[in-house]
Amino acid sequence: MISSTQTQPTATLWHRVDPRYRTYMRLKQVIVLFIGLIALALAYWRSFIPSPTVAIALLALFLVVFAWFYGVLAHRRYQRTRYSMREWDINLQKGYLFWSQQSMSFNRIQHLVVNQGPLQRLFGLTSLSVYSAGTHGSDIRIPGLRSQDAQNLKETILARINAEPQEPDDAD
Amino acid sequence: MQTDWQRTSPLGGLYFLLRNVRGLVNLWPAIPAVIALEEWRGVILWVGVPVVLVWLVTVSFLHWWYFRFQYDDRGIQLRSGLLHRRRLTLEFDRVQEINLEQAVYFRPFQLWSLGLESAGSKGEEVHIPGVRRALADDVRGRFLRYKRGTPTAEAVKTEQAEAKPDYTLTLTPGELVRFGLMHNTLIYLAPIIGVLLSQSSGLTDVMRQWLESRPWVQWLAVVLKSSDWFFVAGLVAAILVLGLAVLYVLSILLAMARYWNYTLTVEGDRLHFQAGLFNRVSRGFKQHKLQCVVVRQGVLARCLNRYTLKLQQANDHGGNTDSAFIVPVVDAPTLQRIQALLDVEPPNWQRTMPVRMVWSVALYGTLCGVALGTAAWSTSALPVGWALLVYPVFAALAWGRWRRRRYSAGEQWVGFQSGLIGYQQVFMPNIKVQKLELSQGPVLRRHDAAELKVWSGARSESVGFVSRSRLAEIRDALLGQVGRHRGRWI
Repeated sequence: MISSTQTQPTATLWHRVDPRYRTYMRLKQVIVLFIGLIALALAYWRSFIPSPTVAIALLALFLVVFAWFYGVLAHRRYQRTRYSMREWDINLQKGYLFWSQQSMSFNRIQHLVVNQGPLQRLFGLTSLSVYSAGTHGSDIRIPGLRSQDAQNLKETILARINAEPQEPDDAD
Repeated sequence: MQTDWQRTSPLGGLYFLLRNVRGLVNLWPAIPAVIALEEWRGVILWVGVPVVLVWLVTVSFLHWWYFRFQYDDRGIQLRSGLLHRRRLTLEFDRVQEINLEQAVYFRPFQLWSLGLESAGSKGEEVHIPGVRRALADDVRGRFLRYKRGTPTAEAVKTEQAEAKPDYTLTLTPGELVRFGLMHNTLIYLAPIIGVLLSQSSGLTDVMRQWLESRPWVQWLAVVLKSSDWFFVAGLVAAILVLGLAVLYVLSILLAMARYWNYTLTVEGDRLHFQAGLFNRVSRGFKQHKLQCVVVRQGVLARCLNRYTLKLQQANDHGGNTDSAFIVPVVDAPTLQRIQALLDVEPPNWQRTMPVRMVWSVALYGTLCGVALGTAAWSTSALPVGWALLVYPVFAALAWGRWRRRRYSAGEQWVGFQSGLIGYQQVFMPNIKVQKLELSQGPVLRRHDAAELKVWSGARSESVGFVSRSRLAEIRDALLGQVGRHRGRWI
């Protein structure tokens, strides 16, 4: 049975992502708000919403959620989004209401992908995806990195993988 | 050394034909439309069907014509594709396993299909249909010589002849009957067919007219009219039981066809099975490629005191039963013996927090109660208070699920158990873990608990409502073991 003596040292140095990631998340939320408002207006125009009172209530709810996300959640999520590298593994921490910590050992990494969408390009941000050989969802995607930081992180991870002792090529 | 490009037997075209016919299954959404468009049915039948048939035969022939392969002592090369040309070189170094399969339509001609699995591919990367056994054995021999480094074919043959398996399991017809009872997928087809048939008024009319013209139906109608409700209810129950019996008999026959003469052999770290009445399958793998062991016992299996064992390799995501390495039905001692051969350590099952039940009942019970209460209120069929009865039902379900939900974090294996009446146990070797995720939502935070999700090369499993510190400890221990491991794992 696994006991505390088997665990590796937990002293972890967490790195924050770029502060522009917070603005990026807010802009994404503005786009969602814009689409939502159009949908609400269309629903009201096509009489899917029974009365103006219900429409106003929905609009108010929508704006409150937006304001909470814009003012509180985006900042908290930015603060919680961090990554770290320990002796054997890479870790990502994210989420505020639903917090999670993802970990992958260096010797299970299959390949690395640097992604940059149009909105990310606007902010000079990049995300780094670390893939394992597992099933769906077994990758780690570190968002909100400056492009240069993403490249540096990629190089560091590759160096760590290359520093791993080679697996013995025993008979199959 | 073989260097010429060769085609498979012309009968290999049958494989491509059947594969293309299977591809037509993707057109199933068109079936309801065809049934509904009664005025176009004639055109579809007399023009559409022949066009599709000609297209199928032509495309299948061209697929066979353009499918060529060659092999040597280092690997196999493949050329295929009609419009999308594919040329594949697969070195034996990357090949995980070579499987042989004999489809029913190949049996009279003594032809086989050769399948090569490689690391990183989903299922078989190369499938060569319609080859002679000698050629298949030649490819397999070269593969084994490449892997073992033995210089001659004679040495391999001698080694194979002298090898005595450590363990052999042969399933009797009685066990296959049990498997047919345990895994009846046909039972889910009946409602789907019923719904499809009900979509066509024309077809229903034809069936009704046909039935009404049968003398026994007319007799039955007279009997039912003159009988009381008790007799009618009994008759309906008898028809349902008869229908179920037919479905179970069919399921047993399918189990017999698929796993007839099932033989599992374990020789060192190599597992192998062969089975099949019509389609003969021969499949094997090395123990170090094992990613996951799944033990299932459904309700009927529990009554029969039997289990089903599935061994998953990387990229075998459990969806395709045809490519899975399965031990269809085993009793408890056999299960323990196979688990011991696979070095699966006895689990040390731990329960999750009982408070899980409270949240489960509060969430699902309330959702269901509100839905039922609203329905009762709008129809006035029942007093709204009846909706509260869902809570005891959900409480019983939550208790059943909590009782089954367990996890085990051993020295070598991590295990997960879930279920209600039956159960499923999933065991993953610690060193095969790919990724771990420790998460916590608002509910879990209230109890200082968390959820741990573990990915192996074949599947992911999770356990929640366990103290966060304990799960963090398990996660760190697993990461440490994986990080220190230097052997082959895939």
